[in-house]
Amino acid sequence: MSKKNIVLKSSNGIIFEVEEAVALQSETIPYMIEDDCANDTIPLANVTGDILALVIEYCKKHVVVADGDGGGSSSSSQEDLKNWDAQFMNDLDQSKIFNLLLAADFLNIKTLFDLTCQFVADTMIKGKSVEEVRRTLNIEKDYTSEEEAKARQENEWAFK
Amino acid sequence: MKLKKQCMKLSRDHFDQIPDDLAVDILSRLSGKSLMKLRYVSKFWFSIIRSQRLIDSFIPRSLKRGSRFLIAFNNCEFVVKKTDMRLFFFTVSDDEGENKSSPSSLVASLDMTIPSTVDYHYTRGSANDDAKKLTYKYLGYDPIDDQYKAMCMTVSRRGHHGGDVEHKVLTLGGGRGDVKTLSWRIMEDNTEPYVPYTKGTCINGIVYYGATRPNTNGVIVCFDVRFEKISLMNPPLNIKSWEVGTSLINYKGKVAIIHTTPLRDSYEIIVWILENVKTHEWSKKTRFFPHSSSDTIDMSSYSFIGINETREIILAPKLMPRNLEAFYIFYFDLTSQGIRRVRVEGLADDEEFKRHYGIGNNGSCPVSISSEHFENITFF
Repeated sequence: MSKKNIVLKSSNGIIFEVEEAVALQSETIPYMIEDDCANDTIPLANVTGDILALVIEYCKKHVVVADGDGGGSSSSSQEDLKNWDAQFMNDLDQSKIFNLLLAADFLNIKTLFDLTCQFVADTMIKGKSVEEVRRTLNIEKDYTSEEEAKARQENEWAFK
Repeated sequence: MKLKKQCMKLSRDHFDQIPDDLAVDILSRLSGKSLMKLRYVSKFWFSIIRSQRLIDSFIPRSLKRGSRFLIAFNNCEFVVKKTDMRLFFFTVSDDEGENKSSPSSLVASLDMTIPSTVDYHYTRGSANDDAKKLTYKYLGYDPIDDQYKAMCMTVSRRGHHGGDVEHKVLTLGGGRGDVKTLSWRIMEDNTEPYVPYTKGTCINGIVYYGATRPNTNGVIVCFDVRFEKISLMNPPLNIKSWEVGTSLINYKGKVAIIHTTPLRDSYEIIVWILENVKTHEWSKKTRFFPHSSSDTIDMSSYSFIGINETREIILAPKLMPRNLEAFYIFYFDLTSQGIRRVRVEGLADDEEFKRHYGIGNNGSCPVSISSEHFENITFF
């Protein structure tokens, strides 16, 4: 049986052709195929080409290859995958990470969604002070200095 | 349906543009302590962190992380000024101990410290004061209404004849605002006088604790958290009175009483398990704790605190060692008769910490250790 390919089109018109098994890690794409959104090309109006390229890179790495015996086996060992994931995330800038998170949510790819959420929590928030979190995530301070000082006083233990 | 969700590309790296449900997912991966602090990042974060959605997402993750030891003690014995009194909470992760290599030592880390409001010197009072009131507090959880309640029991001592007993209850709730609006309700009951003896444990909406009564046998007090009712239950027939070293624990959802008796070359440990709450049917298991294993500890300053995942009962100190150095926690396997011990270190064993909080080397410092600690952010 020949492998079936699926064609994905990003919001800015870039075409990606991938094996079905790669694309089906997304739980959203099967609905689009069933809905017969397009003849052969599935348009992804919410994902730009650069982000879609990252999603596909991730899915290719994580695709479970069906072997001749009918059993599934992962193409890489768990340990290797973990290291690969860490490197993959580390190479991205913050804007890419946020967009990847949105894409993983939209395409409903659970493992990628988990990976990005955990990465944001661990590298941008965990162990940081309130000011550092605001700076890192570009969040505007909408508390007055008095309100903040009062909160700090009431919850002194948490700020240690 | 997810397809309809608008998913615009972010032009910049602003967290504010991430939809609420994703922000909840990310924040639920942080520790309770971090979240407490991060409420003040912005007003939006404040509302998200106090939302039911975050609580619902946080709790399963917290349970999955495995239970930890929570170790609480205060420095009241060591400080002179009331304003210097503080309560310390340390946590120790026990998950390696359950599964993997059974480590021989664990390191505790300081989770938080808050000013202590309890004056131990005051509550002890003088023995001659007949009208003195003794106060005991318990925390219970009602799984049906998903509600936590605190129960406060007061008994006024009148010689050996017991005195008036009063029970008050307080509903704790998340998101209902100011602590100051909470108020104690006096429960209507006419329980005969008793004095609590063991710690309380909450099982299926009932808080159980052992108590003594004047001129009669010991009793188990049951506080129904949902209906706010007190009832009394008899302990197994062989236990006439509570003694030092008798503990009441939650044995996998059942009430268990653990009684220790010193023998010539070991301690005899008897575990009574309440198999049937209605028929009051107790089963019994016996174990021995040889003096050769226990020589490093003073049994009278230890008590059983609970049971772990692998059904080992846990023996932990009630008093911190002098100088607050490392101490041992013992595990007893009730089926294989195995005993192991784990050294817990890192509790105020650095000089700088001790100096800063005025912890000296005089006096004995009571410690409360609980083995099934999971972080919960419901009270935020």
